[in-house]
Formats: sequence, structure tokens, C-alpha cells
Amino acid sequence: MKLAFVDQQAVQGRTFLHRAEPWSKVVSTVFLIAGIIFCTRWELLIPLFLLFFTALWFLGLSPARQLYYCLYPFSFSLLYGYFLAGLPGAELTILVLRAVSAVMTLLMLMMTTPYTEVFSVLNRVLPSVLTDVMFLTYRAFFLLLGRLQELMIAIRLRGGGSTVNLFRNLASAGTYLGLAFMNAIDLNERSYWALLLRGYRGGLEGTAISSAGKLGGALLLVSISFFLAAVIL
Amino acid sequence: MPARIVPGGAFFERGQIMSHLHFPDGVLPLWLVGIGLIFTAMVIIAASRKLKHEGDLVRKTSTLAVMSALMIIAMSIPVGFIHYHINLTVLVGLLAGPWLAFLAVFVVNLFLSLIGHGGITVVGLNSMVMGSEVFMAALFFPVFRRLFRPGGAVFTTTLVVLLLSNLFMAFIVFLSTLSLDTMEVAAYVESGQQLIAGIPGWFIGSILALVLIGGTLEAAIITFILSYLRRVRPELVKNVYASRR
Repeated sequence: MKLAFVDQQAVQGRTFLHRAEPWSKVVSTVFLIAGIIFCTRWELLIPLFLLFFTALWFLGLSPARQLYYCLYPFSFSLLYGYFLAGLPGAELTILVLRAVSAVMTLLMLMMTTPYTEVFSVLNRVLPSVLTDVMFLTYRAFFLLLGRLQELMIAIRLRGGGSTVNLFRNLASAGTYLGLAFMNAIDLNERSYWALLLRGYRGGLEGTAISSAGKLGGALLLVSISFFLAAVIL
Repeated sequence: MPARIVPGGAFFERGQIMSHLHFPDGVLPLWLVGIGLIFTAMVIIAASRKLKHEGDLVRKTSTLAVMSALMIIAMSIPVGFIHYHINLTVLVGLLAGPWLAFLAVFVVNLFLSLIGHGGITVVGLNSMVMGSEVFMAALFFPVFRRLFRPGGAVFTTTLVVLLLSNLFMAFIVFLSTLSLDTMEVAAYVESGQQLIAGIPGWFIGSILALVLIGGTLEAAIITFILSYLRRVRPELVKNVYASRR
């Protein structure tokens, strides 16, 4: 699963980008995404895309996997730009580059920053209830994923998951998801008691936000420069 | 938290087609993106206040979290030979109520957008499309429940809701292609064209065909899930299977 793989890389990675302060990476990403959206020049978008493509390759994301991640935004923007908006070649290229560059930018952030650290930053701007749900969703996701993957292996070892009989597949998927639902309810019950025992009244604390170091400052400088270049040029 | 990658994990990677599409970043016009963010922010603020003021915050928060996690996982399970996968929005809407379910939808969209499945700037629009499903489910289910048995009502509600949410998505795409040029708008009005006439017929047709196939699959699975839960843990679905009102 994409989410599990990306988060694993973010947690286990040891590059200089992994060491930068999370908030500086999040703010840099905001500037980069804003720059990409406003950008009307392919001369800026192509180098950015290639830079991230190379960086992600070094971070452990193979070119094939990167192309897989870009396939959906590429197809959507291409179909939208060509058939619905009727854009000419140059504008269509920019539209497609914007869509795929934005994905690469977000992947750069998530491949170097664990979800929990991103949520700590988001805690400053989103309602506390919502960030609490995000923290707990993250926890529940991995707990449920582990159980369901084991269940899936058990089903496959018993010859389940046939790809021919659609009705049987639907019934199996229904039962599998029903069981997943019950697992989720049990997990919910345990989370409920754990939160209650710890005196939860809304507002989980994330990692403290430190001031930007040299690396964080450099990331901010580069991203702000890209944003200004995209807006001015 | 480090992820556990087990051999069966490959199975979770094949899904491609969802019951509706997620908009990516950088494609739709900024005014539309802004409307999506403002509208979603308004619903989230209302839902968060409702969550806090209705009491039992602890249970609702943990329920929301597991529902969101389940939706993310369900989205990665392919069904059948066409690699279609479902999103459980209607089910969560029916069981958790539309306001709580909308928060879950937003959280799911935010999680997915951070790994490039749908854009981060269009998380508002994507939440509006998926979120419309939970509100429509709450609206239509009682109506269909009066007409059909529980299984039929769930199936019909899911199918109708998915059709409508995809039409809503098509409408957003259509809005994004509208020109704000006053001359063009005047020409539109003068020629008496209806807004709907601006959407290419093939676009509507292909969306409806895809949604009919995908929606039927999703509706069948949700009906199977509820039927399974009814057999094993009937107290969880007592609202859905309550007698006709």
C-alpha cells in the first residue's frame, strides 16, 4: 500500500532532508505547491520535476513506482486539458506538468517527514478535534492494516480471492470488509478506554515545533525563490 | 510508526479505479478551488462544533478515527477483474451520521492527498464530492427504506447516491471550463443554452456507464457487509434494519 510504503521510508530514512525541521519542510512545500499552481512556464516546471524525480530515486522510490504515482494525475490533466478545456499544446504541457510536479512535491515531503510530524504542524492551523482524529486514524490505520493483511494471506492460502467469479468475489469482499469493520469496532472500543483513562478532553499534543536551522532556512529560501519566480515570470 | 510490509501487501497495491475520480492539483481554476476550500471549511467547523457540543467526545473521536482508517484500507482492496475499488462512504454515512462521516471523509482525503492521490489544494472540492455522498445517503435512505426491504434500500441508496455524486463531480468539471468573459457569458444567455448543454455528451455518457458498473459493485459489497454485520453483530446495524417508518 502506498501510504504504508511512503511512511516507512519517512520513518527509516537518514538523509539530510529527513533531519530538517518538519515545519520548514511543510512551509516549503506550501510555497512550492503555490508556485506550481501559479506557474505558466515549462522552463521552471521541468527542472523542478526532474530534480524531485532524481531526489526521490535516491530516497528509494524507483522510477517505475514514481511513474505509477504520476499516472493518475497525468491522465486526468491530459484528458481534462485536451478534451474539456481544449488547450493548445504548450498550455496542455504546462497543465500536465503542474499536476505531476505537485504530486512529486508532496511525495518529497512525505518520503522525508513522517505523517505524525506533518500533523503536528497542521495542529497549528486545523481544529484540534480534527488533528486528534488524524493522529488516531494514523494509529488505527497501521493496526488494522496489519490484521487485515494477515487475514488476506489466510484467505489466499485457502484459495480465496478468485478473479473469475465476480459474484463470489463480491460476497467475499463483503464478508472480508464486514470482518474488517468488526475489527475496527473492537479497536475503537480499546482506543475509547485508553483515551478515557488518560483523561482525554480534546487536543492531543504532537512533537514540539523548533526554530528553523540552517537546513530548514535553506529549504525555505529555495521554495520562496521558486514561488516568486513562478509568480513574476 | 514503521509500516509492516507483508507478502500479501502486493494485493493491496493493484487498485486503480474508484467509484469516483479525485481531482489533482494544478488543473482546476483557482476560484473553484477557493470555493471548495471555503465550503469544506464551513462544514468542518459546523461538524467539529457539533462533535464537541453533542457530548461523548472521546467515543466519537475514536469512532471517527477507525472509520477513516477503514475507508483508507477499503480503497486499496481491488474487487473483481477490473481492479475497481470502493470507498465505503455511504456505509460510514449511514452508520455514523452525515456530520461525523463528513469529518471522516475530509481526513481520508487529506491522508490520500499527501501521497498524491487527489490534490492537496483541491482537498476541499474532493471532500465536497465525497462528502455529498454521506449527506445524500442520510437523505435518501429513509425514503428507499419505506419502499424496499433493508438490503434493497441499502443497495438502491448506494447506487443512486454514487450516480448523483458523480454527476456532481461532472458538474464541477463543467464549472471549471466555464469562461468568466462577459461576452461569452452574454452569448451563452442570448442563445438560451442551458448550463447542462455545455458538458459534452460523451463525457456524461462515459461517466454514467462507468458509475453504473462501479456503483453496482459498490452497492452489492455494502449490502453484503451489512448483511454480514447483521448476522454477526446485529446491534451495530440496528438503525439500518429497523422496521419501516
